[in-house]
Amino acid sequence: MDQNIYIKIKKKTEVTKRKVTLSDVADISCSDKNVYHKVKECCVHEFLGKEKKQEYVGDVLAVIEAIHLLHPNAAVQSVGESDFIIDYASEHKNEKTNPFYVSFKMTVVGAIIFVGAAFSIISFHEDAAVPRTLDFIYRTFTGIEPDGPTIVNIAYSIGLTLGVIVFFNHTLKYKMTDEPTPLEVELSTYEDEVESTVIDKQSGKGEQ
Amino acid sequence: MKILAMVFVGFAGGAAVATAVFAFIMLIGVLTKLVTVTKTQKHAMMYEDIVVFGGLTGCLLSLFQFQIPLGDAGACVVALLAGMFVGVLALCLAEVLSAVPILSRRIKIKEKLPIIVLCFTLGKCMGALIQFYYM
Repeated sequence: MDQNIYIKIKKKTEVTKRKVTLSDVADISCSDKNVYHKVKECCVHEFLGKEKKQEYVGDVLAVIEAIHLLHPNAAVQSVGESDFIIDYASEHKNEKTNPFYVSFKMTVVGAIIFVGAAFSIISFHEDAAVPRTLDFIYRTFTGIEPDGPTIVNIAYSIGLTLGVIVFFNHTLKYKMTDEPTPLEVELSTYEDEVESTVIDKQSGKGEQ
Repeated sequence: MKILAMVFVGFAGGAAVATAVFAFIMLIGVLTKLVTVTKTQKHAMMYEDIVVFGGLTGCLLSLFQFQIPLGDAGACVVALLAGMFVGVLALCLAEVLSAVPILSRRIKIKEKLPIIVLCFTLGKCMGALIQFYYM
C-alpha cells in the first residue's frame, strides 16, 4: 500500500555541515515511524568544493525523486515551498558575532540614522516653512507677534516625538501592542523578496 | 483657553508631520537597507528608538535655533553622515520606483549592471558638487 509522506520544506535553511538531510530543510509527517526515520536521513544535497560559503537552490521534485529511491511506494505530498535555498557556511557566525565588530557597525548605522532623521525633519521644516506656520498659528490665536520660539513650538515638538513613537509602536523596551514594529515588518518583507530573487535567478540558470 | 487651543493645534500638527515623514522614510526603505547590509536585524528596535531621538533633535534644532559648538570638524562629521543618509535615501527612492530595472529593460542591458550603478553614483556626486560650487 502507498505510504503517505507529507513534507513541508522551509524557504531558507542555514547549515554548517556539508551533507544536508531532509530533516534539516523540512518538517516531515508520516504515520509509519519506520518510514519516517528512513526518509528523515534522506540526503537532499551535499556541498562539495572548498569554498567556505556556498549556496544551493533545490526544488521539491528532486527531493521527491530522492525519497522514491529510498522508498518506491511512498506518496509524497509537498505542503511547503517548491523551491528552497540552502546556505552553507563552514563556520557560521564566527565573524558575525564578534561583539566588537557588531557594536562598531551598530554605532555607524546608528549615527547615520540619527543624523539622517534629524536632517530629514530639518529639511522638511525648511521646505514646508513649518516655523512660519507655527508663528502664524501663534498670531492667529493670541494676536501677538511672536518673539522667538513660542509655546506652539514646544507643543509641536512633543507632538512630533509622540507621533514617531506611536508610529513605531514602542519606546525603548516598552511595547504598546504585541504587533511587530514597522521596521521588523519591512525587514521580513525584504528578506522574502531577496529569497525569491535568489530562487528565480538560480532556476533561470538551470533552464538555459 | 487660547493657550490650550494653541497647544492642541501644535501637538496635532507635530504628530501628523512625524508619522508622515517617518512613514515615508520607512516605506522608501532606508533603514531596511542599512540594517540588512550590516546584518544587525536583531537590533531593529534600537534603531527605531534612534530615529525617535534623531527626529526630536532635528525638530528642536530647526525650531529653536540652538547652537552646537562643534566647529568645522563636527560639522564635517555630521554632514558626512547626513550625506550618506540622503545617498541611501535617493537610491532607495529610485529602487522603489524601479527606475534602474525599467531603464535597463528599455535599453536591453542585462550584463554590466554594476557599471550602471557606478555611473549612477558618480553622476550623483558630480551633480552635488556642481550644484554647490557653481550655483
